[in-house]
Amino acid sequence: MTKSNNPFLPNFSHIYVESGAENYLLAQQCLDRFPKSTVIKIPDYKSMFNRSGQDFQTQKKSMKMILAVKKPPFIYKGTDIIQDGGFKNFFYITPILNCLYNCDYCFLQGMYSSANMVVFVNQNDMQSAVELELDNRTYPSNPLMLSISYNTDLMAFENILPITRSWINYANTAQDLHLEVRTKSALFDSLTHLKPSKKVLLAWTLSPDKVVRENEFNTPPLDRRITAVQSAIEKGWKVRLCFDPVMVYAGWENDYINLLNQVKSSINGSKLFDITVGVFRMGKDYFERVHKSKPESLVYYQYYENKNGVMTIPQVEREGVKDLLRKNLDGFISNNRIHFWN
Amino acid sequence: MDLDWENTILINLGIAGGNANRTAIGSLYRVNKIIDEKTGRSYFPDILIHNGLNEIQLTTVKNGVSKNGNRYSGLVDMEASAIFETMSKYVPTHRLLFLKVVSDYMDVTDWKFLDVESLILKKLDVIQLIVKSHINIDLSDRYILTPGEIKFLNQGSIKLQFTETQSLQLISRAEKFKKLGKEINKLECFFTMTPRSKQERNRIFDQIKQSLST
Repeated sequence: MTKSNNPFLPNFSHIYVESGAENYLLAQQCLDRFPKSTVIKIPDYKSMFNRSGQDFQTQKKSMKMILAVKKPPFIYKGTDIIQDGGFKNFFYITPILNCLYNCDYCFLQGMYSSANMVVFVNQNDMQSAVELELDNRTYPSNPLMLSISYNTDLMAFENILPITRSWINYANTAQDLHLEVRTKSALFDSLTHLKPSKKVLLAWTLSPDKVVRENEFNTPPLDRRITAVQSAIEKGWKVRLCFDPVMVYAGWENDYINLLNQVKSSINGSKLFDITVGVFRMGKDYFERVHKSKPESLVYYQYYENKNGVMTIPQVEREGVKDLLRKNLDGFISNNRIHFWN
Repeated sequence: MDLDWENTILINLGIAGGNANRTAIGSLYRVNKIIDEKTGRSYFPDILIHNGLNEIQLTTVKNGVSKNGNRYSGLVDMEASAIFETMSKYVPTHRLLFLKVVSDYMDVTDWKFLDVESLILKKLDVIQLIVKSHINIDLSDRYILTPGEIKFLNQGSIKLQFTETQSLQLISRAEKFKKLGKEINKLECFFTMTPRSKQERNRIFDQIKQSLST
């Protein structure tokens, strides 16, 4: 009965296709990519994705894919929780909901009742909405910075569907549009055939090995992420490093000093676009929803303070993170290119 | 309903009419989509575990179908949507299994000639394997406190005449305390007390909170 020792079906053993989505090229590419998957037609993606009685962490063991046609809104204004990196017109889009990875500090498990991944097949509609926003942006003399990897890790998905490269190609043709592609992936190879674009910021989240191992499940190890960063810089891409979230636990200081030393010895700071630093933070509602599910992770049993509806570590610890990062990044990159969330 | 839903796998095992072109009488199917014909609603049990069965969609109808059965693309029964709708309030969608043996092609004129028992008996071995594959700790609800620890805390709450909110807070704080590697039996000394007023009860509750936060 069981094909391997793992009793769980492989990810995407089932693909749920919303009525009308099958007519899009991206849907066909996806179905071709997984020819053995069971295809189930659904009337509306929400009838599958928003069901009651789902368990996010159990579903993570065998994620399914949902192909759907996104309805408006197609573009969202950045929130206080995301770092805008100094860009005044900061927006994000959601080409995919949910992520291949399973970082235990991630807000997605509080945001969605399902761990299944929704791929919106009408990326063109999102691009039309971006064009409209470009025309009507609040600060017309500043470019529009668009995060395309906010509710997912798009680059990690690149070997499955080429959505990142499609957005990069689009950004190259749209005046005043800049992209941020935040990732933990080591799949930079999937973009190497593209001409580096000054309008695209590739942002890698780096964490000590202990955090990768204990908190960032299914993600590539630190050294592979650093290799990807090195390749991207070498090819001429704009690169941001994100130490976000810096996890605070007994002995965190040494682990992060070692991480920063490793980064400083392998990456040329003057070639980086900037660095962002943040700590664990999650909207209170999302935090409570995750906590109620009794997660295995210890992250949800620590003491946090409620800072204007956002659960985060106490002020004194936030300052400790800032001090340590600032001190250890001194001389590596100029201070004005380090952005702290606080 | 007062049952141990945390460890329950709910299986709806039964017979169903099948589309003559797509199903075979006597075959066992796992249902991956249920459509309620009356409301038009669709229901989806999560299918996370290898099972080796053919999957199919099923339509739940209000009245039995005895002709033109091929207008339904998969199976037809008279209960699955109601079972899903009711039971998904108690059991998560990954522990709801709908297993159906095709008994007819919706052309039955006299139901008493259907040998349901025999149809099911022939598939019992497979059904047992499927049940076995779902007895898996990874499919159970997660819990932090053992039933014994919850009983200990509830008895303490009764003894100290805690309000319902205080009792719930006690459980929540005890979970956090245990998760951080500490023993909740340190609360035993509080549970021997008997408050003589609400003020005293609240004072003890504050002391317990203090004790669980250190």
